[in-house]
Amino acid sequence: MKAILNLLRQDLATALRDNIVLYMIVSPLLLALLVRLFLPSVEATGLTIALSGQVGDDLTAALEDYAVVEIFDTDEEVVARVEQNDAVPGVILEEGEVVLLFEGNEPEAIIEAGKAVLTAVTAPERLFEYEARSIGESSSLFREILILSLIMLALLLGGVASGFNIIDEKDTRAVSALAVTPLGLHRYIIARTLGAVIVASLVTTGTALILSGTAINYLLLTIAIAASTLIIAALTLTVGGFANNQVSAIAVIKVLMPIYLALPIVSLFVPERWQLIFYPLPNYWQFQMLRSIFFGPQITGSFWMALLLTLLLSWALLLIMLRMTRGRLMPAGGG
Amino acid sequence: MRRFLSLFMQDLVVVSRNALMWVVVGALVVIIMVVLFLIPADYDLEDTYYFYDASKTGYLEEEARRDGLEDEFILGSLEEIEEAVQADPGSIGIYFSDSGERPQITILHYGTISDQNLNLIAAALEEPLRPYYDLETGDGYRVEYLRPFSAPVPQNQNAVPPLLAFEVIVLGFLMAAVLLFQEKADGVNRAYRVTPGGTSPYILAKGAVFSLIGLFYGLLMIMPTVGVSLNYPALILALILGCFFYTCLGLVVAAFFNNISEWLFVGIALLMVNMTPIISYGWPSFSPAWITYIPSYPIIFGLREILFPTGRDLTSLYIYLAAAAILSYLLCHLVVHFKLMREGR
Amino acid sequence: MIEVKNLYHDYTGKGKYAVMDVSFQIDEGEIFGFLGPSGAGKSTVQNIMTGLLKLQRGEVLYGGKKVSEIRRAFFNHIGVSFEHPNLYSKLSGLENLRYYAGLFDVPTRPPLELLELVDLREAANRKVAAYSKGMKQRLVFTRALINNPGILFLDEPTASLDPVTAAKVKNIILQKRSEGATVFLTTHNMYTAEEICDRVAFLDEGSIVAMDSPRALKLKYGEQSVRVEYYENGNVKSKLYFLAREEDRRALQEIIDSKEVQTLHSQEASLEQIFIRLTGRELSA
Repeated sequence: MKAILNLLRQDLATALRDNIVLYMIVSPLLLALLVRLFLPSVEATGLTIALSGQVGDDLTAALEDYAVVEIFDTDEEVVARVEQNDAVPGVILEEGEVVLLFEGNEPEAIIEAGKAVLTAVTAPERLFEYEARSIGESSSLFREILILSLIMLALLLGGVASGFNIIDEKDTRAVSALAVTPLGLHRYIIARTLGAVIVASLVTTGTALILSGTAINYLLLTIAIAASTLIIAALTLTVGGFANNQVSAIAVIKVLMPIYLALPIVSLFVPERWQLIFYPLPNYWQFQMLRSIFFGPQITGSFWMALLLTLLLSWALLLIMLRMTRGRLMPAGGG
Repeated sequence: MRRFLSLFMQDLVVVSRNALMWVVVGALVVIIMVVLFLIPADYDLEDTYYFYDASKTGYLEEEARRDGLEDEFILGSLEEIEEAVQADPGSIGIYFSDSGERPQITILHYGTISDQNLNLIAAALEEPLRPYYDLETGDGYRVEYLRPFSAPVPQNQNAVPPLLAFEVIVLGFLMAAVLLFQEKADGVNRAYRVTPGGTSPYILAKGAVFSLIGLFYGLLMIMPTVGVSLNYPALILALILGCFFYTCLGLVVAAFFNNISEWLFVGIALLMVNMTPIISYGWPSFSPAWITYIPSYPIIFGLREILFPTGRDLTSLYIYLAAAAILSYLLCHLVVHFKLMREGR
Repeated sequence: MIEVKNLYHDYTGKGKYAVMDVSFQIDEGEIFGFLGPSGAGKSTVQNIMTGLLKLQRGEVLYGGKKVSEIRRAFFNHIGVSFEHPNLYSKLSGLENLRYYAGLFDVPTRPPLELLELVDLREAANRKVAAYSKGMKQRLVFTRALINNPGILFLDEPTASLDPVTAAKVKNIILQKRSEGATVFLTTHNMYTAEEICDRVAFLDEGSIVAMDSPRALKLKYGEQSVRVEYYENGNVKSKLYFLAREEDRRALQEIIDSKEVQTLHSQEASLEQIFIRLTGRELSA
């Protein structure tokens, strides 16, 4: 234990000197803050219509019931606005007739929406009465993807940071000095993993606080982070074991990120009957654990089942990684 | 010229021996496979709707089936609607009845939907049902297309512009940093400083290397996925200028860090911010001003226009890219000169 | 001629000078050595002279022209060999030289010929990452010669080299001098300085404490000395005494009278001893 704690203290001293800790913690938190700030506006996005000032106040007021209206002085300005990259239809008056303008490359949904709105505002009477009922907190697919991506990224960063420590020691041959102490390979790996989990916990908790405030169960989140320890260890071994220097570490991370982050997100778009493709992946179940914490177990089933599968599969993954990185972490003989 | 060529060849050889290049080759193969075989051509990113038509007439259900809606989205009770929406919180449930004076719609959803969007949903449901109730369909307007209505692009091919923007063009941002840190680790900058080399050939050589790699990478990605009938001059210009721009940016950012582990977290964060225009690409209604200022925003839409032309004039894109390349080069020159070509005090 | 006048350099900006009031000049075709322990300021002076460090205070003149006025073309005529090898590890030795040669506007020597000079011909196509420390040092040295420089700046050129290779490197330096090159050499190896330098300057804690040819320094500061080894409490001890000093003569006599003397050798003053005498420190400290 003493040797493990000593190595952790050393890592902290090095990291603080390098500003790495600062970048490591601040960057994801800043990202989380940005997401928190702009996510509501993304989810509230609706139709925007560019309007010529000549169409009249009545039509303008009617359109404002359906869309965000941007008013321009001339028809040419409306045309220029419609031609911009985003999908904004325009409304002008041409010889007394209302003209709905499209560029021609808008998604069909925007075109249908534009037509529906003009039909509604130019019709003499409404057909429906309607009411809207919200049955829970906001949970769009988009929100899920963004929030869970950031949380998974925060967990990944812990493994990456620790992996870099291993690489640094290999690069400078400092690991040879460690190999001739009583530390041993297993305690070395434990120390590196503990360091990774500490970083991951800090960044994940901070990210969760920013994104979800007090709306989630932090006890479950702590359990989820603890259950992710073996995955984090596997990530640490992958980065630290397969890369011999910082430059090749980037190559390893470039392979790792899509597998770790993108595959679970892709699973959100895959029909139920094909989900079993993802079942062998421990990060898939880690993702389901986090989904049930942030978006409710009704989506995913039991948190505990996902936790159990995370533990079992990540244990298997760790064993594989230990075998594959044998001899690549410490000079042979480190027991 | 000789210096530039020497540095160009040197950088090309060093980059080609970097493990990251093999990852890039692997990524190219994976991307082509994914676009061709995994992404469906007609995937729909729009909201999912569940309907229950409790009216005596059944007009809504009739219209929904006529529209091709599958049975799994046409439900039999309000409770089923509620369950469906709870299981899929991103969806919207529509309960339709005509028991009152006027037909009534109840919209069930998670979170909050603005009044405007609720009116929009109601208007979208109203339009096809008006003829059933002998109401005027509101044809007091006409529709005009500034350009001919272009055929929809298959969703799998629609993924190519973002892949070009966020995988190919930004390759220089990542690789320039990697190359720079490799040079710092090797200490070769010191040797370079005592040659007639200078800052300009140093930057231009790297810019040229990654522009060339980006060009080949991009073309190899596009040809199998989109086809070979392309606007090559426009595409080549966009790829080269875009890659050069991001290479210069990559050098600017990396020059402030001592090694990769310091740079990594900031680099990833910047790349993720750079990716936010993908939201506007997928949901074009979302284009707040701040997102349009991110360089990848005009690039991603410009690439889409190049690959899937709709008649839009691309002059503004070329001007933007040229200006971006020049300004980024000037900034890069300043930063590299003071941070890399000099030592300490 | 190279002139350095009243050079100062402060890394920290807090008045702690790494180089303090250093002045010297180097004649064309001369091998000038800077001798001093690690941290004395040798590399700092060299870096200022080569433009790697900004000139803070003082003057450096090349043929009357200030170093601050020097343009990039100046680098066509100098060669710099660094103490710590700085090579592209992913390139071979040959490639390192070839691409480096491409940076100069002047004719350059064939890389293979240079590699042959330092017995690296067979390793020419091997990546530098696989080179030993000594091989890298040799490659760095030959790289400094690739543009046929008129001025050579060599920082510890024989460090990490075995005696045979070190001798080769020294011969190359002497050859360059005979071709008219001016050499500025920094080292803490007194043998190298004695062997090849026309003049040396002792640098300690940023200041020059003595400067002249090795022979003149020995004549001026050197003293005959005697090294005596003797038994004391079961251990063999060694001491050096300078015969010109009264107290040393007395101490030597005492040892001869009271201890079991094993060996007794007289020695000519070496530069190291002169350095110790002048500064109280060893060269390899």
